[in-house]
Amino acid sequence: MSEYLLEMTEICKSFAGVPALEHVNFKVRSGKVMCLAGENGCGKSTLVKIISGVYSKDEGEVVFEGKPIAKITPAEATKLGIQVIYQDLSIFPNLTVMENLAINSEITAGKKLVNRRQWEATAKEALSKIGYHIDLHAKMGELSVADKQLVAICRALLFDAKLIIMDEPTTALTKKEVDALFKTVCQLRDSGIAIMFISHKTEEIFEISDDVCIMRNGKNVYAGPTSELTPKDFTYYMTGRELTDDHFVAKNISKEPVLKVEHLSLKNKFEDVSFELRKGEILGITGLLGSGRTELALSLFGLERPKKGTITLNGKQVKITSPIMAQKLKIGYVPEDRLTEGLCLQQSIADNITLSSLKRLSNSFGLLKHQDIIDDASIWKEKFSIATNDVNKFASTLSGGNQQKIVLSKWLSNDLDVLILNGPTVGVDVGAKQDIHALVHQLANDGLAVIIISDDLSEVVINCSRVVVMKEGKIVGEMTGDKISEDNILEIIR
Amino acid sequence: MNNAMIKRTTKRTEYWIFLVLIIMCVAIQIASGGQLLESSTVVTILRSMVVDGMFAMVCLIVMVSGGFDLSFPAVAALAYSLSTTICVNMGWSETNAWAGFIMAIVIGAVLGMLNGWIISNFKLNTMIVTLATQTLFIGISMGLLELKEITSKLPLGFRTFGESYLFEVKSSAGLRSTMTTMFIPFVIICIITSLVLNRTMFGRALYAIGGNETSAERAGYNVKRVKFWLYVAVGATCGFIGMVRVCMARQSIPKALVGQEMTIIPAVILGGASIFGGEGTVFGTICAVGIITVVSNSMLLIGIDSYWQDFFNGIVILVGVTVSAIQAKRRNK
Amino acid sequence: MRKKLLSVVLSISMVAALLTGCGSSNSATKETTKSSEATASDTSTGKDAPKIAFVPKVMGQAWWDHVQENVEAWGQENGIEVIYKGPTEVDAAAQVQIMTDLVNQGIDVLLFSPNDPDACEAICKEAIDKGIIVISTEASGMENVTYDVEAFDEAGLGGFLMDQLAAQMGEEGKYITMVGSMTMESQNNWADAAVERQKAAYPKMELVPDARVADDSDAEKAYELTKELIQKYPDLKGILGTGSFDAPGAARAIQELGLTGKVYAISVAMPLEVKDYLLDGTLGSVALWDAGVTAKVMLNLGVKLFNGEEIASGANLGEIGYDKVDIQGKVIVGQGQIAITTENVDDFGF
Repeated sequence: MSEYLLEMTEICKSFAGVPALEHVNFKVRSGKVMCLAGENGCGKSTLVKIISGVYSKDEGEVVFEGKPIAKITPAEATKLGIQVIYQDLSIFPNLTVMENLAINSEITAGKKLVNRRQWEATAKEALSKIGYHIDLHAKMGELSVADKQLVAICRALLFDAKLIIMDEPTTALTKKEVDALFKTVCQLRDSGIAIMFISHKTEEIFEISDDVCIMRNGKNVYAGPTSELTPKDFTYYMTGRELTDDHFVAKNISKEPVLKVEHLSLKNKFEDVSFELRKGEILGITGLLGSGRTELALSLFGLERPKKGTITLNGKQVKITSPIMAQKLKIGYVPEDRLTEGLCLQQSIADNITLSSLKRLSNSFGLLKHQDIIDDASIWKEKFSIATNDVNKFASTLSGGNQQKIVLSKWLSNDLDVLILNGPTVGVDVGAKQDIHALVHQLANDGLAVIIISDDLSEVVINCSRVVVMKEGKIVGEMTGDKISEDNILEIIR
Repeated sequence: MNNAMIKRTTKRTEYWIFLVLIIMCVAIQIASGGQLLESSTVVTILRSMVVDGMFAMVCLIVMVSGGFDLSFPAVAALAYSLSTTICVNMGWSETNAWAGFIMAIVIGAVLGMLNGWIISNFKLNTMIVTLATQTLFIGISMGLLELKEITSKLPLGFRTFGESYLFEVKSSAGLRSTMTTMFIPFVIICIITSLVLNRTMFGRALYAIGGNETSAERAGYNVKRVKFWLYVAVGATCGFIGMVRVCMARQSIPKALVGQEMTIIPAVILGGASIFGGEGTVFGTICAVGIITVVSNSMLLIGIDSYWQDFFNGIVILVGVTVSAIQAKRRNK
Repeated sequence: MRKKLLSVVLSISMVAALLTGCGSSNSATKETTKSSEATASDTSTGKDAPKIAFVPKVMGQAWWDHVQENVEAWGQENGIEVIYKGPTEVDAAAQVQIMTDLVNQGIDVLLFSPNDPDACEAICKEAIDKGIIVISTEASGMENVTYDVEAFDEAGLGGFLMDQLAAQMGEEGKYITMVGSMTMESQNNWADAAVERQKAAYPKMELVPDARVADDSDAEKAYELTKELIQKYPDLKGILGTGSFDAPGAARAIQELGLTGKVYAISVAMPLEVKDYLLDGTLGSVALWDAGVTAKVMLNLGVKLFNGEEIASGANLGEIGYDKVDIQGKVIVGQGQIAITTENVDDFGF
């Protein structure tokens, strides 16, 4: 038997004549973590679907445990020991943990009736595989994403999985949850299971994987041990271009602070927070989840009401009680979950960009001036080089990075003084991330005051001219210029 | 009983619905001067729960799967009108009721097949499909087959079956009330629904599909087949329920049930079934049907104008839908 | 490809569903008696036979089925084509639509029984302006008609019901009125007339505070209501219904409760439906008018008017109960109400 569990050779697949995969080659070893990396739309999910039997390949050879496999169905893939944990986890939110754990194997066993005791035994067995404890009778939908994920992993293990494919499992997780997940992944790896880990996050890939296969436009551009790659190579393979991290250097910082926060406190969230923000600088606020960083941002946007402390804008003390008021005061906020909170996907790009400045774009009767909307949107399209030929297209036609650009332009189309970005590049691939960063730098240099809230330290380091570190609701450190480094921040946080 | 269990129980809609039912009964009992819990009133209320209750089971099972059936009254009406018309035309006036029942069940199943076939094959919105088939079935009944009201010509077997009763009670005033035999099919249908939903893989499939259809497919359920047979079973049951109604009312009126879905569906939602699918229990549904029947049957007793019935139904829909939406929000958090 | 084909079939069947559902009146049309037979004697004034349309309140209900049979029989007898077409639901808008279609088709005589008289006024005016003879029934208040034919006057039927109920109750005791729905104009008018009659003639009878209940034209509901009423009013003695589902439902409850001979019910009803209750004494009598006869009278009248004849009080419209009609303004009133008892219950065949 070969040392490889799964060998994919010269795999080709096209849909209606359009090639999705062209001559893809890679190998997966038992007891190792293999990362499948690539930007959105590079063919990762097509490849997964071929392995799991949802699609059939056009050309090439799939060899599993030394045996060539011609064509398989999803059920056969399960029998071989291939399990896919999809991004949505394929769970039933309305059922209990026990039912979620047991239902798949009961169906596979062809059962007609429900035997509660049997289900419970199955569920317990599943949890014991990774020594995970949870209330079996809790409703699945009420668990955290991390718990849901662990349940999904336990469920996969019930099928004597030899290969577990995880499709972008870290997207909705916090850093802490990612660490816990990686621990589980290592545990599985050490027990001899092969893990195929799909991701586009550089740090994660280097942290967890033994081998890596990088795909771009349906071709695999690199396949081999992770150790032979540098992060720079990796980025090059991913995007096809040399990307350099431009550290932001503030060029024209105003003398007077535009925003001044003094002794701000919100019960149980943060306490006695004071800082200043000047035009032209990018202030990073970082800290672990629960450090109060998000609540602080929400307070500045009127979504939380701090009890104590003052906020001073352009020299005037203000009380921000609602987002509408915040907007009037020229404060913009871009939420973390850009897809659900910031965009109407089934609306045109132009409508999205101008959503928060409709007042400016309507005539004295309150009717919208359509041409002005289009013109306004086109200006932002040019400025941010949004990848579309027509601003009348739906926002859903754009990639994640370009969607983020729309959300940004939506806020910027209203003349702003302060822009707050919460996790601006969450779920965005490397290339688009780079573009967004460049954009933010440009905005700051044009005189905008920017706050970036993030737990992605590299992002904070690259982009911020000043960093405030929060811990348990308090500011525990502040650094500027050359002092800003991941190590320095980590030291304070820990 | 530990804390976690109590917490889980109080979180469930049916627990609250049950409380509401009890409180409502007590309130009406007081307001009506003790007339609600008279044996004869209780028997009458149970009797009027029979048909609505059985329809509610059908509705529940569809809603659990994430569907919406607007066509069930039309299926039942077409099934029983056609079946009784055949019985009358064949001159089976003395036949036992079972021939009519079997025919109605078969007709119902065929109509259900049409629903099931369209819904499972084309993955269309069930509400739209059943809205269309509802109109289609009424059209077939009224236009194509020109089915007529059958009252005095109703076969004797149906009448006898409808008149049969389990026991009789005497009220304090000496009034005799009978408990219809039709209560047994109601109980049986409730039990079967409960068993199917909780004790069979088919039932769990309905919850799974209602919860997340893609996941159910990935888990290995043949979603298409499950849905098809669901609607066939629902159609057959509707045919049966329709015949029960014919026997009870001793008349077959092709349009008698039209619009019934608008009182049943709100009741089922009130009982804890989610409008988004995946939730709902037999117990909660029975309690909700109980609430609606008790209220509609005691409006007269407590002297409330019957116009208020519509007002009450509106409140039921609002409350039910709101609770449903809140739950879904909590679930998908 | 196969999927595509199926979708096409599906959409066609969807369209078909809408057509049969919403426009089912089309398929429900009865075009009766092609006039292949010799022209009838009373149309021999040189004009062609009139084109007559009859629009019932609704298709497919026993009551109107009976009317339809009579209309068809009349057509056959007289060799005149009568279009019989009505809505599939008791729906005023659908009925007006059908009437509009007919008027635009070019008919000579329009006969109808409106679901909502007010809603029909506009199209009736248009019809009269076009020279169409318009005759309504069960709509004595309509303005834009040539004539309105009533089997009886409203006060007459209400009083007729009350007289019979009072006789059964011994002219004393509590009673209540029951209707199909609170919005059915004629049924409520009859009930009002019955109450008037009681106040004038039977002082010992008393209307209970609830006064009127509605059974949604459903015998099962009438049965439940009766039980509730007796629960609430233990001394209730009479139920006066004006809808055709009232007495059958009430009788079932009275029989089950063992109150035969203690509680009395009466309403308009179909004879065979209440035959058993009449025979075992649960019901003393029910009232009826033969809508089939009324329909024939309307047809006769329509032909007469078409041929240019004048009608005056005391005219004979050729059917029993209508041999000496009373004419008040546009309303022609017959004496068409009949009491159904064990004596004549089998005489009608419906």
